[in-house]
Amino acid sequence: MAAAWLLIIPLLSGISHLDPAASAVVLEKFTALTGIILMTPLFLPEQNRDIRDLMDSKATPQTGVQYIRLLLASLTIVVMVWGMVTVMQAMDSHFPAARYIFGTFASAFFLGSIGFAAYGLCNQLAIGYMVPLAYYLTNMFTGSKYVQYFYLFSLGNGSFDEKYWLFAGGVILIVLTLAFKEIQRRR
Amino acid sequence: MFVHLWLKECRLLLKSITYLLFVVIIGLFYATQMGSQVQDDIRDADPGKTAASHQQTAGSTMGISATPPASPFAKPLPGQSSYGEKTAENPATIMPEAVQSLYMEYTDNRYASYPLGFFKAVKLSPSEQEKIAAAITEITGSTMEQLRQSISDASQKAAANGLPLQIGRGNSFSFPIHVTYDRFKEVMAGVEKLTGSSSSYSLQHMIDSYGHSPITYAEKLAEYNDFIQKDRITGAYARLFSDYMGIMLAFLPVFVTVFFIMRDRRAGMQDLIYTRKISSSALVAARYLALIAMMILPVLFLSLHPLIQLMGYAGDHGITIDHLAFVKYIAAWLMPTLMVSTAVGMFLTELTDTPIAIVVQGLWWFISLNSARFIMDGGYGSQLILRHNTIGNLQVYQDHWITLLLNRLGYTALALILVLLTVGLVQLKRRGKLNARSKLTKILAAFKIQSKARVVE
Repeated sequence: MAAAWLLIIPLLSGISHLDPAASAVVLEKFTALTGIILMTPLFLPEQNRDIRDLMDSKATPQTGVQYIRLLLASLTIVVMVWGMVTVMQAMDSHFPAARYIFGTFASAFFLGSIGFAAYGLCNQLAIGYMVPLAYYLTNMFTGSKYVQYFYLFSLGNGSFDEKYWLFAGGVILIVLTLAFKEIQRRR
Repeated sequence: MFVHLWLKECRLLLKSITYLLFVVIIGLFYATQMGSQVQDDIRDADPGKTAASHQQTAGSTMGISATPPASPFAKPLPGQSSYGEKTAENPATIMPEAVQSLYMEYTDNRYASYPLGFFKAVKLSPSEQEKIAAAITEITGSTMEQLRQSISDASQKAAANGLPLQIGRGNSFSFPIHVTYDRFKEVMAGVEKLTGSSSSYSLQHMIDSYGHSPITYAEKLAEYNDFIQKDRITGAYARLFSDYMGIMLAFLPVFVTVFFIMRDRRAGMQDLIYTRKISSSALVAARYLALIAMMILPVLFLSLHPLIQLMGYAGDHGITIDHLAFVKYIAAWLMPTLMVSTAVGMFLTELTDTPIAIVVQGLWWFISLNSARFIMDGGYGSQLILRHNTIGNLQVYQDHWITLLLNRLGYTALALILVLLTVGLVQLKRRGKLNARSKLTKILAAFKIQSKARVVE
């Protein structure tokens, strides 16, 4: 699904001959959505009670399994963003690649971690998708007014500081969610 | 039986966490976008604070700034220095500003274009660039070298005075115009062919972007009178309310719909429901109407917030308002949007047994929202999301009344067709002739077997 979305992006928006501001739009507003697609459904296998019981009976800790899934999802996001950046630069778009890769990853990771947390806490996939999308819309329509340091589209304004906050925020959300799940499991 | 089923569906929706989140998001969106709008406008109506105009016009790239917004409640006074600006086909602003934009894009060989409303940079071949240069030369009466020199001289002059170079009307440098407006349009039509119909050089785009002229006192007064007498205040705010709510209702309902239907399937209730005596049409209609009713309810409730504030203002100032304006706009403007997004959710979920409707509707929403970006203040077209992001602008609304009507009727018809098709799908399922999940599983299983076979080979 995330790969399909990346293939759709060039049909919607131009990705060639872009300056840094226009490139930021493609990466932050479009490509970053892969975070929601890849990270939100990571609890899906355990949604089935039989699978959950089976997993609980194994010696491997569940939290460890979740961290491995998160790592794989994060690596996939990095590869996809890197791929998009490479294609854009090959098509004569000009922007600092390393900053834009990390910046886009940070936005995608934060969006994904919101979805991951929402799904983990509510056990409802719909909520897992709706909450990060609502956050995305808030950023889209109100800018940084309410979200402050957690603004998703700061590269377009030439600001990079928000990206550290987004990454750190994402890590905290994930750690708290997995701690909550662990406590829930022990009960 | 039908009413009983409908009520049951409504009760189930009320207990659904997806629906509750839908209500929260709609409420937050209203609060952040329009929550204090009426209050601020009433407060700013103080004549001492009256600014030139409340009509925001798109500022040009350089030289001309957008007019600051003011309260629509403030009656304009004669003799003010300015009443703001309006979008108009004014050759005096269109020609120099369009050619300025063209010159800038020519020097970068990077022409902005907006197919589907999204930005796309167009790069031209050397021969096409020569044609653009010829067009600029004909319009300005200067060669590209002469223009470069003039800009360089103006820049040095500005730097000597410690100022940055500002290009445009009323600034140190403005692009000269040596052709009539008719000839200008002909030349720019040739440019449009090279840069694309969705570039900045279509006539409509040039008018929207560069065409502006001052609003006169008479026009400003007429606008105020429209606001008070024709719109009866609430009409103007109901359009703005519909503009914001339409954005949400074009997408969020699909979540509620998809997960409401899929919940039955997950709980294993589908077979139980299908074996009941009730007809498929009643089954689908009860669910559809429950979804529509429950999702329009928070919108109606939210509309009370601006309405109550406006009723208070009208009572204090002896003005007659239309108490039903919000209800009318919600029914005619927002309802078709909600009907379509809900119908898409129902139809695709019944057809595929997957949440694919969210992806489809999300994509449609994204494209619709962006393609309306150049008609934000009204104008309308075939988009699912209708924009009217301003208070007033009644004239545009009246001028495009037929387009608006056809748009809404068209989407209502589409929603009804999708609901009828959903009835057909449910009927097929009840007869055991359609099982998308089973087919999908078979396809995936076949794919897995083929993969293994390849490994063995």
